[in-house]
Amino acid sequence: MLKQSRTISKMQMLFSIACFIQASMLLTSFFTPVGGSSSWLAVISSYLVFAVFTIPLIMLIKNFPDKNLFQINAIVFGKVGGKIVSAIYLIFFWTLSSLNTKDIGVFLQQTVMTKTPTYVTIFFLMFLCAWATRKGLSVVTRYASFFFGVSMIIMIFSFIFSYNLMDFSYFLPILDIEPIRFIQTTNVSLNIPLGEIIFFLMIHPEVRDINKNSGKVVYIGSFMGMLNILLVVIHDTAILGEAGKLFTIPTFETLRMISIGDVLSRVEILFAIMLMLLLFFKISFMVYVTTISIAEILEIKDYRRIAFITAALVYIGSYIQFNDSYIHAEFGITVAPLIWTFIEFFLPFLTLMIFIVKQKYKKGSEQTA
Amino acid sequence: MIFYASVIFLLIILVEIVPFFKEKNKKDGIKASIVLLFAMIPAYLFFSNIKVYSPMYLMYELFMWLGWHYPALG
Repeated sequence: MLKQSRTISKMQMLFSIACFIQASMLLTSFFTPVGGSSSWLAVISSYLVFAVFTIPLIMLIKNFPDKNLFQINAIVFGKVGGKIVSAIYLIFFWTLSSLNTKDIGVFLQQTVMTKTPTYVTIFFLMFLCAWATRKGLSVVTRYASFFFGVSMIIMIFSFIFSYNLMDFSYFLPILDIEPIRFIQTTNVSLNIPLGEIIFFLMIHPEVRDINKNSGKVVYIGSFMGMLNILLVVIHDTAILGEAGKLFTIPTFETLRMISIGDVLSRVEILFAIMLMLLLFFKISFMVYVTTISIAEILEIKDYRRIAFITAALVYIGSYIQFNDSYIHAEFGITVAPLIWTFIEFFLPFLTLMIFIVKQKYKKGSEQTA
Repeated sequence: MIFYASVIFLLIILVEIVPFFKEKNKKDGIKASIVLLFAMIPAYLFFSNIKVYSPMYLMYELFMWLGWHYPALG
């Protein structure tokens, strides 16, 4: 069993959750083409659904403050069953790490470093992530509050700068989409930025006093992250309207349009910097979690010793997950919400239910004895 | 690419696998080697232009085939 010492504070976890969710800004293009001008409503409704669906996660943290998700699985499902369930989570963690790595590689090549091949940028990114993982969770999460502050300032400024481009009539008519499309948008928004906080169930034993106010930390952190996503969606819809569906990175396109008195232009570089900071944070956190997951499942005593191996696994995963970016986008819209719901919400719920039933059965048998 | 990949994998073996065996921690060394193989085999196949399918891609194909999915954008 992996030994995890209490190295970070609850405040660090809160900002880490906020940054983690915020880093999915690039993925708003998964749900805005489906929801159109009603996407902002779907984002709000997804947070409300999340507030209910995340209760089992918080209860697991409260019941097992010293055990990570894989250790909880071993207790609830038994040794073999626990390994099988943990293996599902491990594949999920590896897949998400790889997909996010691929996203940042493609983003950098499309926008900032157009002539540099993605395998070079991803290589250096992976090296840094593995290095941070070797130094531990406190290093990985140290700059979360700084990254959050910087990205919030950039987002607010870009909102102000582009105010003259906004046309709020694009939001009308409200909810002019089929109900299935609204449900789909809510589901994608629920799973892709919000549900990914399942990663934090691997590190909560490293957070000091997590058994007290863990719900507050999860809800406030996710609300802060979601607020930024909501701002992005409103900003993009108000500027591009239905045309936003045509772009892969709509926010980047909207910021390209900013020109204040011919002095202030090319503001999109600020967005690129913000995304790079956030995605670097998110991917290093994901690599850290994938590393401790591999160490936990294979019972390797020191996870630090396999950080570069995990980084290599994530690196090659970013190439083999989805060779075609069209299929990747279609997967994100059509199938991922269903698979992700099963892994992010149903499995933890099942774990909690089995744990409660076992506890009751145990108490009942103790009383009869 | 195969050359660069080989150099990187060799460096990883030297930095992460060899120390396990030097410390006579064979068990963890073998486990770490197996994890590295999971990275090496797809890497060499991919760089040799042989198509490799990830578990999630296969799940995607399965769900599409079963019809368990949201409507596509069209």
